[in-house]
Amino acid sequence: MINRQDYRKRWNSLPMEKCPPGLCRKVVRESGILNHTSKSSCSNSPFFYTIGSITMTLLLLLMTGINLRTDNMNSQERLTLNTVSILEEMSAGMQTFFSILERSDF
Amino acid sequence: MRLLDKITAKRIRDGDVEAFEEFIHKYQDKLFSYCFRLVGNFHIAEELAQETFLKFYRSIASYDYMKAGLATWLFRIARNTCLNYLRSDIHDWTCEAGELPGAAESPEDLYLAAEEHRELFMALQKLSLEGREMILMKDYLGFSCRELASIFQIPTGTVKSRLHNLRGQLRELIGDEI
Repeated sequence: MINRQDYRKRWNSLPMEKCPPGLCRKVVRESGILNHTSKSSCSNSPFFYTIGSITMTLLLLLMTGINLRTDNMNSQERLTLNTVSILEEMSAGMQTFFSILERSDF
Repeated sequence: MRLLDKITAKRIRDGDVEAFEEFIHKYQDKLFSYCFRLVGNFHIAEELAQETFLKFYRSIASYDYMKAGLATWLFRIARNTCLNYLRSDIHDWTCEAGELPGAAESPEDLYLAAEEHRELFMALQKLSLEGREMILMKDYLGFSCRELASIFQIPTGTVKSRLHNLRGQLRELIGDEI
């Protein structure tokens, strides 16, 4: 029986085998991943969702502002309503953002 | 780590070729070594490694990162693939000393290292198939007992006690070989 140290030494001195070249290429070709149709990597990224949500929120805010300008109100009422609308739209935007993130399974 | 595995699995599932290639490059040597040490034939080991990666890709949708790490999962597939091959009647363990690499420098050292490795592998062949696999995964590939428990689907304590017995047997067998 050999001792523990010698046993360990034998395993440690044994190098890892090198895989024959070309295995990766063969696997990728045969797996069919190259023909895989999926969503583009851009639309999958959280960055895409963040930018999309911010743009959507800004658009909604702009539309709210335009609508309010045409209303027949005095300046104080318009200001109050505008602030409330902005907050509402921001909250809606954030909710949309988080729901998209949740759905993206990230 | 598990979160990284989840992201990698998702990227591969979504058809990200780059992610799949990265994954293959990361584990191909380890996987090939495992197959080679288990079946003892270079070309068959290559085929088994390839088959394992293909099975991995085809079943990536069923991967659950909560149950196992991606490497553990890959080696579970590798294990089943190799076992299927070894249980079939077409295999023959034909590893020769010349095929075993040596880390030595001089021809004498090279010969001694090759001899030592030959003894080690000849002794390893005398263990049960499961014992051989377990020793290879732990002492050669460096998996933890917890990972082995997940691959073999047995409790960690059982892995530890089996390893203790197997190492004892192997050390004795190597002594006999000398």
